[in-house]
Amino acid sequence: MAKGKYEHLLKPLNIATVPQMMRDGADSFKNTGNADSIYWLNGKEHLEGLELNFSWGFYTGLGNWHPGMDPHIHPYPEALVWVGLDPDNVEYLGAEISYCLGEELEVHTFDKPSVVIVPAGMPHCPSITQDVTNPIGYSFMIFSLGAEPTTTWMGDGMTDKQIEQMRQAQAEGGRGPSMVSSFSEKRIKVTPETLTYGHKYDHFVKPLKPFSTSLDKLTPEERVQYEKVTSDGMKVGPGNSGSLVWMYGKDLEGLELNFTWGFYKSPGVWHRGPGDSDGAHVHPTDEVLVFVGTDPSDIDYLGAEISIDMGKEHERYIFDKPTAVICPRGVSHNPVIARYVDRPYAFFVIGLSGEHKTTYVD
Amino acid sequence: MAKRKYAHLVKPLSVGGMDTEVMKGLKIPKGAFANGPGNADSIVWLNGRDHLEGLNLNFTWGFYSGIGDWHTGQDPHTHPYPECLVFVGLDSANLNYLGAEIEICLGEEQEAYTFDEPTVVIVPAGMPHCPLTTKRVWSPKGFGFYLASLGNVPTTTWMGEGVSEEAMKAMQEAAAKSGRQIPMTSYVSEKRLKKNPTKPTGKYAHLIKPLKTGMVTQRGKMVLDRLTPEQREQFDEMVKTGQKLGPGNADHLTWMYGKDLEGLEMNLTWGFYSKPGIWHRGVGAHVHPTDEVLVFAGLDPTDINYLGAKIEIDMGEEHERYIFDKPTVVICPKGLPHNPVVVRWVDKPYAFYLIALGGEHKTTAVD
Repeated sequence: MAKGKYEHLLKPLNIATVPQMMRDGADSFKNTGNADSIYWLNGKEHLEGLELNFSWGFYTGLGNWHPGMDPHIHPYPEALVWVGLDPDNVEYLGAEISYCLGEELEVHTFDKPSVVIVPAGMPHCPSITQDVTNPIGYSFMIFSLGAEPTTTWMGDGMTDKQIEQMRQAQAEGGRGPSMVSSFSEKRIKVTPETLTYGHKYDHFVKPLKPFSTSLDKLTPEERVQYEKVTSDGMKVGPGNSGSLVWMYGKDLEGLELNFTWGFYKSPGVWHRGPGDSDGAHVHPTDEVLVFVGTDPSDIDYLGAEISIDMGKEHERYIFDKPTAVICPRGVSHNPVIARYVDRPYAFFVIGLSGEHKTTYVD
Repeated sequence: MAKRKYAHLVKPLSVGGMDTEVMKGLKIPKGAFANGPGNADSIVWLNGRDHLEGLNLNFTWGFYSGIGDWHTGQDPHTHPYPECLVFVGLDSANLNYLGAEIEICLGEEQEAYTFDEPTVVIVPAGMPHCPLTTKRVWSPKGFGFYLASLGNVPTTTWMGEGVSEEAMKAMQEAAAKSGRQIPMTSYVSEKRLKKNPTKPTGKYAHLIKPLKTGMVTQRGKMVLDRLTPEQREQFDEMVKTGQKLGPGNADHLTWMYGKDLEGLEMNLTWGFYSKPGIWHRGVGAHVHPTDEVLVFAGLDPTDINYLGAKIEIDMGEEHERYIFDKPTVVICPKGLPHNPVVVRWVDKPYAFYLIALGGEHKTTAVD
């Protein structure tokens, strides 16, 4: 199979498995709501320098995700996305999450797939999983607009030993996430009494609303969008998602970010036309295409075989493991073709601009 | 796109197209292939010399709905090569449905055999055959037919009383004037036979085989209990190496080998396909020790140039990819790696058949 010019743009997600995040594997996160298994890729090490780091993980545990460590801040903005694992219902989360925003520790609770937007420098968390009702759990993604995960912890529950351990791990490298951690002088105490229940940050918490790719189910606005996309002859192919979430910068408090989320169940091409391109296109901004599985017992299982063409030469790449495809601005990509699907898989785009401009090529 | 090394091996079926409207519009005689009310409504005919890179093969694909003789006054006829006549239905949900009743005469005796299910008729080299008559058509879509002849130039000696050298010449000239080359070398026999179908004695019954006898896939599942021990062995080997059918593979498929075809050095398939995805999992390209052609045809009798699907196939060890959405033949010379086949989308079920120039179908995975 083709090996070549664009090989460096396809990354199996397991290059960034974070073993120490395994709930039962590390003291720090044992008995917490944190991930059972997780990938965390960053621009510096894995994504060819993109100003992005992102995660994908499976979650079943209850409780605080980083006991004693939160709230925390980052020097970059991010979007935190909770999604369910029912491929027939993209609006089902199967869990209840409480999330604190701001120094006020304003609590926001939701039980539907949701995105929480966190501006650069804004204290956020604790994140507490109150309940998990889907027997296989749920998933969570971080989309952070920095090439290097960088966190300043503000919780007052960390012991000196814990801090020392984290510093040491970081100095040794190779353990835990590639995270530059620092510890704030200012500490914020988290107790039931210090939590608040206002509405100052309501606008940072948004449910994920899917739009159907079935024409008869489109709202007038969606139809306008659909017609815009299909006006040059592009049609939805059999391999595409029947129900897709797409959040743009305008939905994300003006972040230079847009992302999709959807389940994919069928073989075939994703886009038909225009012409012979079957969806080959370019964007004026960078994006990452992420293909992941939906089997929480094996994060390395995709459940499908996918081919994608890269570059104007249509170099074809084929994979059957969870994979990120980096599409630098101006590099043409697609068609995507699902050759077979054994189990529904999921896919998300992370586009590094508020809009998603597409120009079809060929 | 890089230079296309194998482009000459992937051809639209329309390269062998004959404009039957033009042919039918010709004054007497109508034309060698449309010279009977039962003959094709539309047809393509590709041959080794002109279209198939010298393969020792010529084959057709056509749609039929008319009642009556296929070559009025011209039959019986002979060829210097053996051939298979494959009568198939256009009901993609049921490979056992023909939707027509056909009578074919075999031998100098013109023993008339009749069938009304999908059937292959094996005609040894030199054996007089036909008249061929469509007696009845029940299917609103008519039926399909393909010829697989083991000669690279279609060559026919007509023995019917109603044909003359002059008529044949005029026929060819008239067709040539219509801008179409008839890729057929026609002769008229010294010996003439009057059309005179006789009651079958069973002498030629072994030359007529229902396609259902070769059924290997039904409703997307392999029919394992019908496999021969050799086929079973091959299948078990495939399973052992992780190979299996992909989602794009056949809904219904029949496969006739040389042993089913009176020992011909040929094996052929007929199948219906309706789903996107890859055809074979667990294997990339494969090779055969014999030549074969892969024929992708549509099932819309109103448009022989409609496939109803978009398909990609890799050719050569370089995996050069070819993509088509029109009826197409892919020529696979012996030893040339080909596959995978990946179906990008399907609007309407389509048909696929392969004609391989060996009695057996040995396949070796390359990658």
